[in-house]
Amino acid sequence: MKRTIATIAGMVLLGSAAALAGVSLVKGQAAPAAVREIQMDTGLGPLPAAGGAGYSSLTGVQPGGPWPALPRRLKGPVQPIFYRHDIHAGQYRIPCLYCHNNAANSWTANIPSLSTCMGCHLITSAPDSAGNPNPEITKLRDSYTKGESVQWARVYKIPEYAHFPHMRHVAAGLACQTCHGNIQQMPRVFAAVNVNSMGWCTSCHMQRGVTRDCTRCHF
Amino acid sequence: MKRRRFLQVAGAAGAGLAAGCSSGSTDRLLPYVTPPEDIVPGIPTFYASTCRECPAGCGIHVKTREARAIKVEGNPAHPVSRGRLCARGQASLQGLYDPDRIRGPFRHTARGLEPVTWDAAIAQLAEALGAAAASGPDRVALVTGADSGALDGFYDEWLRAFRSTRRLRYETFAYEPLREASRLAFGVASVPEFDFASARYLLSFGADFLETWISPVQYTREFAEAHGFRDGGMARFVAVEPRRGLTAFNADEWIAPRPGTEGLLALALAASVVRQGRAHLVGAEADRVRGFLGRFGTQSVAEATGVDEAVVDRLAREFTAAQPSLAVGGGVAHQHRAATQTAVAVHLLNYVAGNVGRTVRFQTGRALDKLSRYSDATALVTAMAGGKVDVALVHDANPAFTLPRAAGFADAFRKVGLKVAFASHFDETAALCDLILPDHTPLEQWGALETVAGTRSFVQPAMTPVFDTRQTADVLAAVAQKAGKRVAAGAASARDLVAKGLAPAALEQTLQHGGQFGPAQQRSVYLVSDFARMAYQPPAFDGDAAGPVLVVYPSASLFDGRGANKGWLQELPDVATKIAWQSWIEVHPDTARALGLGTGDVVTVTSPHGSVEAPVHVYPGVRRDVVAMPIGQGHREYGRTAKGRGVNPLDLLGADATDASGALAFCSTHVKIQKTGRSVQLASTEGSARQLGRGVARAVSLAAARQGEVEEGPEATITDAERTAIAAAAASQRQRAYIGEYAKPQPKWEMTVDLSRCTGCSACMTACYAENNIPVVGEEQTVRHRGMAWIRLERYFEGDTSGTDWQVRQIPMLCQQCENAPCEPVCPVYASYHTPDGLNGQVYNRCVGTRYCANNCPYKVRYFNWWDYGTVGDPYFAFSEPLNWQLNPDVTVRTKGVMEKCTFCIQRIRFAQNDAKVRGRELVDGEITPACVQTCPADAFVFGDAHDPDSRVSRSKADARGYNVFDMLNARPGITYLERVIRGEGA
Repeated sequence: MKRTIATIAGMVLLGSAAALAGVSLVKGQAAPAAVREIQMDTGLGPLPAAGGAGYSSLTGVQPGGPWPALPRRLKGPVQPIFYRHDIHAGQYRIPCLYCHNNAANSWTANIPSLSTCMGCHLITSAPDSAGNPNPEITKLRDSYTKGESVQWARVYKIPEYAHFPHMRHVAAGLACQTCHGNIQQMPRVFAAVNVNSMGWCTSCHMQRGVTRDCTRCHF
Repeated sequence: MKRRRFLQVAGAAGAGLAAGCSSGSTDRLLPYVTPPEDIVPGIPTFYASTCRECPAGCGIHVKTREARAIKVEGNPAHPVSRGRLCARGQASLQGLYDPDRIRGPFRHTARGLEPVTWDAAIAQLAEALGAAAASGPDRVALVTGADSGALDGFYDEWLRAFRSTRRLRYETFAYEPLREASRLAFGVASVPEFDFASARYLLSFGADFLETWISPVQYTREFAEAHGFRDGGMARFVAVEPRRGLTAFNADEWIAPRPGTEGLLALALAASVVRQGRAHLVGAEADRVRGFLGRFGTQSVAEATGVDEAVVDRLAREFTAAQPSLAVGGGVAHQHRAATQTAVAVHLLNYVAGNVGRTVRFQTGRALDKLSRYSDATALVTAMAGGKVDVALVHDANPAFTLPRAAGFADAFRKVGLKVAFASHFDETAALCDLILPDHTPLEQWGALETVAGTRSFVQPAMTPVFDTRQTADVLAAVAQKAGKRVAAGAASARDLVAKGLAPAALEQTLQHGGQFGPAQQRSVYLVSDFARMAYQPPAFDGDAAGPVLVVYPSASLFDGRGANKGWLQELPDVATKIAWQSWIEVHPDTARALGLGTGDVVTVTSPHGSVEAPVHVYPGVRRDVVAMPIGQGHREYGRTAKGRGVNPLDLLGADATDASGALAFCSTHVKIQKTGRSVQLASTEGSARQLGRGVARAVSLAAARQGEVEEGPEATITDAERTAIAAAAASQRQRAYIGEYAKPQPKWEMTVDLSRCTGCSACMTACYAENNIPVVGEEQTVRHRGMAWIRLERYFEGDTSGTDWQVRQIPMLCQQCENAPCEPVCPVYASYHTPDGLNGQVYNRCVGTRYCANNCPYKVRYFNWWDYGTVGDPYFAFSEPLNWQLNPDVTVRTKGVMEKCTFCIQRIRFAQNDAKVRGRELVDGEITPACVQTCPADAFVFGDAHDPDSRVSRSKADARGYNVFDMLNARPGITYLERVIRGEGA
């Protein structure tokens, strides 16, 4: 229960932060904000072309306004709920760690619990013009009410013989996009980077002059 | 820490968690609906609890990951364990995840075994109990293990509700002679508290206090405190027993009297003390004692015991010269027909030497004092055979196995109307029962034990139950309710009973702490005036006196057989003989030669009460007129690992062989040894019993150690020219391999092992199995020397083993993490390489299995995966569901064809380093402890950063006793051993 309260409190905070930034979480009350591409520093130079396969463009997209248009083709595994990172992380700029909070303090990043989702979606249901709640959010609410989890399809998996400390990379100030790609533009998540190729890891480590010792990850 | 709420969905996010699924089908990730407050995926959560593997009651911390228990450690705040744990405690996890556990309630009918619902079972039991109670008093019998505290009281009250007092607190080893002797000598029927730590001279009459006796973890710690070499001093330890086991391996001197005569020897010692004028006695008491002891002339005792007069006088002198000293009696000395007399004699010896009240203290309220005697168990058997019991309930005990077959438990038990087993396994007793209501294992239970005076040690579930089991107290409460009885003010569950009288906040705090640990209340005792009531004669033995006497001793790993279904314990080589998986009979080399026997020859062992077949292990640690067999194997029922394995020596014992206290005399018969002509290969991990001049495990006398002298190894024979050549070669090697310095200073992980503290208990081995996902390979692979234990205890005999004047050297052997490692240059794929922090890295995913490294390793500490032990379907698959739940998610499960070895628990190093970095703090010396270091009851290991001159390991390394094994090979190991110190006569 404590966690649920914290989540709701967090949502309120997020809401106030959004209000301070001149945006609102509730549709239709949006004050016009400066139109700009939402960019995040990945430390790896320019992002992949927006609007390419699997990506939606955030150009002109504002919090509270119409949702980003879907690309022609979606990539990545079909998920039980069509959760859109391009709306949550892109349009509304919810920080990754708001939901994936364990990435900051644990080896493994978590898939947010349903109660985290419900922190906002108890209130907002993104209804259509007729006032019907969004069917994907309805799925979420049903699962939560029934106390059933959602069986998300796994996108990233490194082998058992490698151990990746998420918290070290977060603590080092690395953007999540570095390994997970331009996730704020992904309506459906796909593996933008082959994290299972060790060269991916080592090239970055070499570039930044950090350890390349095998037993840092393999044990 | 809050109690775990029942998780609706237990899956969690993250890489490396879902073992077993690599590619192909899509993995599914199931987030929590509501996250439990005490779980962060990837970060362990600890629960304080109490170990229930033996009656000692060590406090434990259960490490859980994602709501599954994966490791058990000692609780540092607990007065018994002080953060340490033995092999059996480590293996409690395998009891939790045993695939042979009973998965739900069952009923035995004419058609066989049928599943039954809990409600139906409870109703059936309530009805039968109601009828039994209505038909008269004492028609219900309840057998439990060594329970104490809240639940123990509840069981008694529950039984009274059904008009019965037939309660048995049954333990195979209940220390009846010791309790009875305390009553006879001091008027207190109690197991005293022994203070090994402050004793300067230790005399043990058969007590295997480093293995199974009373509280082995506590005594190992205290023994190492006293007997470990420190600041030029140490206690002397003399072991008196006809069979030299692990405890006596650690003795500075071994005396082997005739079996059964230990008591006489103790009395002769006491008499000698008095004669020498060294007794701490005054007044009339002195006269009384002197008068009594006058009967035990040294000469007559020397004849009876076979111990020389001069030795008796010397021991008496040494024993009283060192203050305080301590004599303990137990094990085989307390397991013959004169056991109580022996215990009185040892008490008297302590009293005469002034130890009572100093190293032998009496306290009020020890759980052991309430244990039932063996004679109580046979009385229950008689009652059952006489049709006086309608309902018998057995919980946490297996009398059908641990009582001698001659006691006739099974036949009597069958006569009981309704037999109920609250068992985890279909063991020998459960197989006879009509209702099988599986209990939670201790890691799923509630409890509040009062094992030691002054402490209240809590048991709490570390995870949700693995199977459809219920805690016995919960079931009994439900039965009472169903039968319309009000018990314990209507408490409905074990948790209620435990929490009684504690406010929620206090309960939470107590659970976090592991219990309430107060000082014990001391009782001062005096020798009663008629202490000499008994006849002091050597005990009688059954059978033909021409044959050797059979010594039956508890296995240090399997205990009384309860550990036999745990692979870790079966594969743990016996601490003395180094045999795993099997039964054996120990025969002295001379006796074996006379009978034409060799190691592995199967013999028939016959006593007047039965006969068994077992292979011979030729062993110098038994007298010529003694053979010895361990208890623990020979299960006719139980799980797949235990069933049909070895023999049970209890089959050779007579049921009425008891002593004055009503204890079973395990050592009560002569046996006949006959060759069968067959022979087997023993699953022994012993390479050679001799060091052959290799200087592996070294020892030095106390006198020499005080002078800073050490035993030299073979490297001392290297000439100066050779030494120069080696140094030059090493320098050139270093120069050629030099690739510059690391940008930042790096630690160098090293270890020291103090052999004067190490007792060889092998707890480190099982801790390593648990921490590092080491597979159990089974008997056949062990015979082929394909065991995978990353750390092993090597045991060598030193000196002439034809008599008793020989020593045992033991040394834990694990990867030495050589600076100049022979394994590294021979690896063609760089799977074996040197890490910046001074370890020999082993990269499993690089290894192609050439095995060159193992070939080139002088220490033989690299192990090859001949099979896919971690893969379902492999013939040697070692982690049958749910054993795989125990796997440490931080350690790779190795696949077939790769080499593996000790990593210094690198996952713990990396975990601590990451944690320190993320929190922006420095690592603290002693923060990182490999599993072996953490569990070691003797605190023999020191681990740390050798680049830090102030670290404990750096200081320990500088000890004059420090040496490297095979130093002449120039491998420069990262493990420094400190030589054992042996305190000789008079020193």
